[in-house]
Amino acid sequence: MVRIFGLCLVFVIAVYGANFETECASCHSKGGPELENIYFRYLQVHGSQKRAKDKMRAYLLAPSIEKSIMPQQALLKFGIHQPVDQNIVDEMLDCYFEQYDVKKRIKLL
Amino acid sequence: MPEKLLKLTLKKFFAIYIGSLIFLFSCLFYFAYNAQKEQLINSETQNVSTYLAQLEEQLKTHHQNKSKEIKIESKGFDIALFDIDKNIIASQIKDEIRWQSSSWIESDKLFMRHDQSVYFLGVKYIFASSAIDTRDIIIKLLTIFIPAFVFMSTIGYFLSRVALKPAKLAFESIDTFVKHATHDINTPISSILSNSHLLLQKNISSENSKIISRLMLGAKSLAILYEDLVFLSFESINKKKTVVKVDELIMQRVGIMEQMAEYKKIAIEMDILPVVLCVSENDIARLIDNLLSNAIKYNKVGGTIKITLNQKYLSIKDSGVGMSEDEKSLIFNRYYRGVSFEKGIGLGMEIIARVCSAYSLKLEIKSEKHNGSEVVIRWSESLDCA
Repeated sequence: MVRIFGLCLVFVIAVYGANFETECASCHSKGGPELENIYFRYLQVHGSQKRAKDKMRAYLLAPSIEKSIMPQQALLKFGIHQPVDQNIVDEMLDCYFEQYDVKKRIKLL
Repeated sequence: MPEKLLKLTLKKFFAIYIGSLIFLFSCLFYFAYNAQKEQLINSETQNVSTYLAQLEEQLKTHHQNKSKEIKIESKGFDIALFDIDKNIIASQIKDEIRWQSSSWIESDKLFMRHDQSVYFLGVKYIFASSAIDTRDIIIKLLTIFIPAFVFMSTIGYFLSRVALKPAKLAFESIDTFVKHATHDINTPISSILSNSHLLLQKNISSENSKIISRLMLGAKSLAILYEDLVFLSFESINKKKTVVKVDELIMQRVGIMEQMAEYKKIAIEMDILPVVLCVSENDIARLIDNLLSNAIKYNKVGGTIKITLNQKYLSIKDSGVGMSEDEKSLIFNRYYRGVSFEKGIGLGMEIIARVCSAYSLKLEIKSEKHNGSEVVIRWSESLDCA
């Protein structure tokens, strides 16, 4: 039972990972704004992962200049994001925030 | 007695001095400790503030570099990082966070908060805590206060000795004077008594005999008063106990008092059994003298005194003026006299009470106004010589 559950989990993660790679990373890594820069920008402006994620979700579902927090130069260069499908936005954001999570990086010595 | 009194005074003086010194030093220690602690807290506050500023710089650098591994050196402090929603990002602090305070002290730890205006790494609140170690302060203060206390105590001890020296010299001088004076009083009294006794044995007229008898009576009263005064002023209870035949001692003391009783035409009845106690003869003699003296003084002319002695108690019952309950409560006060026109200065009951207390004798006084008094002295088996 445990093995079956484990296999399912690996499968789900693999699928989501693949989705994030195809849906987000593929574009952002080829000339788009760097995902890590965006992550840090959102953290700096909103002050918590949860708030950053909520704001990013709102922006991705209905992108607009008003909702964007990126510098004007970046907006001019890359333009506004294409709207993301509501069915996949949460999965993508979870994967994205998991990937760059600062909590995992900080070590107090 | 004066030596003991002086030692007692010295002890009391020194105890008060030491007590005051302890109080003073405790106050000084308290204020010095608090001042030093406050100084330590101020210094530590400065250290923590500096560290918090450095920490913010570290966060900023890591944020800008987007470091893969963000290593933050705590430099001996405990730190905690929180986001804007007060969720923990990283923490070394196990104590409860007081969100309403920007700094506080708890369990000898100083806690400080710094709020980032720009949320580098998504951190809004930075906390740092530092231990406030007061042991060094206590050790430092004790190394000053203990020698100071010892020094002041020594000074106080010598000062008290110096201050009491004139009193000691005065006491010794008075003591010597009184000893000489009492000896000088005793000698003429003894001389009056012995010469009066010799005169009585000579063939003299009945009128002269009465005069000499009154003279002897006065001298005996003076002798007893002298002994009472010496007992109260110079002698403490005699700790040297001997085997005393109480029945014989009573006979002897009655013999001395007989003349006083005869003067008031008082008949003395005796129901005495042989009793031996381990006591000081002088103390018991003082007790018997005063009991008899009171029974004579407060008796009516032509009255009676009944003395009963057995293994358990001594009772002296008179047919005198008696006492009310109010008077009974006053008789142990020094200088109290039941009937003011009688001779005496009111020391008798104090001497009786003092001897009774020293030998744990139980003193019972039964008295009725105008119906005589009975004083019963009971003793425990511990006084038996057997």
